[in-house]
Amino acid sequence: MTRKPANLQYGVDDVPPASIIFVNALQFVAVLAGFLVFPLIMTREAHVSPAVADSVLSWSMIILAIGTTLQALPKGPVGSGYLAPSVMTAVYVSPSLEAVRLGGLALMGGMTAFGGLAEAAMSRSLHRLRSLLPPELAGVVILLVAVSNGMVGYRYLLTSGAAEPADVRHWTVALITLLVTMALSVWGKGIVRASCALLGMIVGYLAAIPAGLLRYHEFQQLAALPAVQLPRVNYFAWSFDAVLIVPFLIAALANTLKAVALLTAAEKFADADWVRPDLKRIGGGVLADGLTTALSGAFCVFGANVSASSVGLSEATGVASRVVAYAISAIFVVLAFIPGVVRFFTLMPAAVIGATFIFTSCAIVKGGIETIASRMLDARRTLVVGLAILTGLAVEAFPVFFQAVPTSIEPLVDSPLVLGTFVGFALNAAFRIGARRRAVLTIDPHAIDFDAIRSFMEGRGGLWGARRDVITRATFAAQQLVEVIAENCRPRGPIALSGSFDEFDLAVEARYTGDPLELPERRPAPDEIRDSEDGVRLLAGFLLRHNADRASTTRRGENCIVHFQFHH
Amino acid sequence: MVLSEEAVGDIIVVVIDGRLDTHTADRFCDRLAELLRSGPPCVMIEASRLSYVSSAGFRALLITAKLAAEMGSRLAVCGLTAPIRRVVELGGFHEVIETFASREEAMAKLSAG
Repeated sequence: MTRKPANLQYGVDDVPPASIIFVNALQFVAVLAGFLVFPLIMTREAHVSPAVADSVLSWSMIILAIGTTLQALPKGPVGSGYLAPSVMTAVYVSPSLEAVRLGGLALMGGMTAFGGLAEAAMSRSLHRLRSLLPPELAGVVILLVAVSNGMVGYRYLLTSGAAEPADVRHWTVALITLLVTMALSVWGKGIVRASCALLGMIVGYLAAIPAGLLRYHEFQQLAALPAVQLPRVNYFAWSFDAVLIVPFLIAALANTLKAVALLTAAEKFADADWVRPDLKRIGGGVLADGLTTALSGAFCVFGANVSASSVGLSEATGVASRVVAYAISAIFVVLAFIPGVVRFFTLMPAAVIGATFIFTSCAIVKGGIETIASRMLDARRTLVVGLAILTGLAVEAFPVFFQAVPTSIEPLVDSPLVLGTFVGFALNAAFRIGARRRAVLTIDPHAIDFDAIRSFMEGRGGLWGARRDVITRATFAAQQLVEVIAENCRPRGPIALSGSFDEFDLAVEARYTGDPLELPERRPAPDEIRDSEDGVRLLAGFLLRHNADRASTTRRGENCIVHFQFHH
Repeated sequence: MVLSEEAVGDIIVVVIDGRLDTHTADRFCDRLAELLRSGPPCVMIEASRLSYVSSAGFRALLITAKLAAEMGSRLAVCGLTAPIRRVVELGGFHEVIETFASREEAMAKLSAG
C-alpha cells in the first residue's frame, strides 16, 4: 500500500464523496472533450456527411470511456490502476491526416489499429527496459511533457490557433480563465479546489460571450441537433497501406514514450515514498493505452493516449482516486448519445483552452524537476538530461527547421516531447557502454576491520554517485556477510569482498574458500534464534537474502561465491 | 560498544553507543542480565547511537527479552535509526520486543504503565 502525499486530498485507493467524484469527473470530461477537435478535423478532411461526423465524435467518446476504465483497472495485466484518462492525441495528427488523404476514414482506421497493436506489443517489453529508463530520464520525459503541453497552451493563448488573429478580447478571456483557476487552486478548499479547472472554464465560457468569442449562431447549430442519437456503424470500413507503416510505427513509439512518462508522473504524484518507476505496472498501463488506440482504429476513430492535462489536473486539484476514472467513463458514455453536448465542448474558445493547458502543465513541470533532482548526476547523466531537454526545446524554438524534415519521420520531430525523449533514450543507452565499475577489498577473517568495510562501501558509493539508502543496505550486507562467513563457514584464506555499480544496480559479492553459506527463505523463529546452535547463522542468511533485491550462492569445488544485487 | 546507564524514576535507561555484533553481544547480554537481576520494573534500551546490529546482536536482544520476561520486568527499545529499524522489521523483532520511535515517546508510554 503506497503512502499518500500530503498535498493529495484523495489518493488512488480513496473513495471521495459522491459530489466530489461527479464534479471532478465533469471537470476531466470538459478538459478532454476539447481534444475531440482532432477527430472532427479528420472528418472534415475526409469530407464525410454531418451525420457520419457526429457518429465519429460519439464513438470517440465511447472509446475515451473504455480507455479511461481500462487504464484505471487495478489488477490484471491490463491497466496501471491510476486516474489517467484517455484523450485524442496530437501524436496521431500527422500520420492520420496523411491516411485520410490517401484512403479516407477506412485507411485511418486500419492504420490506427495497427499503431495501437504495435504499442500494445511494446508494452510487454517495458519492464526489461528498466536500465534504459533511469529515474532522471523519466524526470526529463515528464518535464518535456509539461513543455509540450505548455507550449500548446501558449500557442492557443498568443495566437488563438484560429482563422481570426488573437486580440485583446481573446487575451482578456484567457487571463480571466487562468486567474480564476489559479486562485481556486491555491486558496480553494475541498470541492472548490477539486473543481478549480472546471469552474475556471465555466467562467471563461461566460466571459467569452460578451467578448464576442462565442456567437449566437454557434448555439443555434446546437439546437438543430437531435436530443438523443445512436451513433452510426454503416460507415465502418478498414484498409491498410504499407507506405504508412513507418509514420504509424513512429506514432506508436511516441505514444508509448508519452504514456510511460505520464504514468510515471501519475505514480510519483500518488506515492510519497516514490523512488523509481514501476515498469511492470506502467507496462500494464501502456498495454491499456495501446488496446484503446487499437479499438479506436476498429471503430474508425482517431488515435488515443493518456492525457497529459489530466495527469496535471489530478495533481493540481489533489484528487487521484481511480473511482473518478469510472465516473468519467460513465459520463462519456451518456454524452456519446447527446450530440448537442459533444458539439458544445468542441466550441470551447481557444482562450479557455490555452489557459487550461498552461495551468495543468505547471503541476507536471514540478513533477519533472523533482524527479530529475532526486539523483546525483555525474558527467554522463548530466549530458543525457541536458541534451534531451535542450533538444526538445529546440523543436519549439526552431519550428521552420523541423517542419522541413521528410514526412515519414515527422512524428519524431513534431513535438519537444518525442524528439527530446528519443535523444535522451539514445544517449543513455550509448553511455551504458563501459559504465560498470568494480572495486575489491581483501579481508582477513581472523582480524575483521568492520570500519574498513563500512568505509570501503561508503567511499565507493560516493564515487559512483549512488543513492544513500541503497549504500546503507549494501553496507549492512557487506558487514553481516563477512561476519557470518568468518563465524560459520570455516574460511581458509582471505575473503575477497567486491562492490560493483552500473548506475542501475549495485552488487556486493564475497568470494572465499570454505563451507557454503545458506540463505534461507523462511525466517527462523525467535526461540530457534535464541536457543539453537544454528540460530544466528540461519538468521544472518535470512536477513541477507531479504535485505537484497536478488541473492545467490554458487559453489565451485571448495570456492564459494555469495552475490547480492540491489536495484538502484 | 560502550554502554552507559541512568535511572529515570523506575526506568533504567541503557544507552548503546557503537556496534552490537558477534564481538560485543556477550558483553551486552552479561551487563543487561546484571541489571535485570536487580529487579527493575522497566529497562529501556536507547538505540539512537547504535550504528550496526548483526544476527548475533539480535540473538543477544532476544536472550535479554526472555530474561526480562522471566524476571517480571518490561523491556523496550527506543530511538532506532531508520536503517536499523528496517532490519528489525525484516527480522520481525518488533513483534517480540516493544519498540518506540523516540526516547520521549517511550518515557511517556512506559511511565503511564
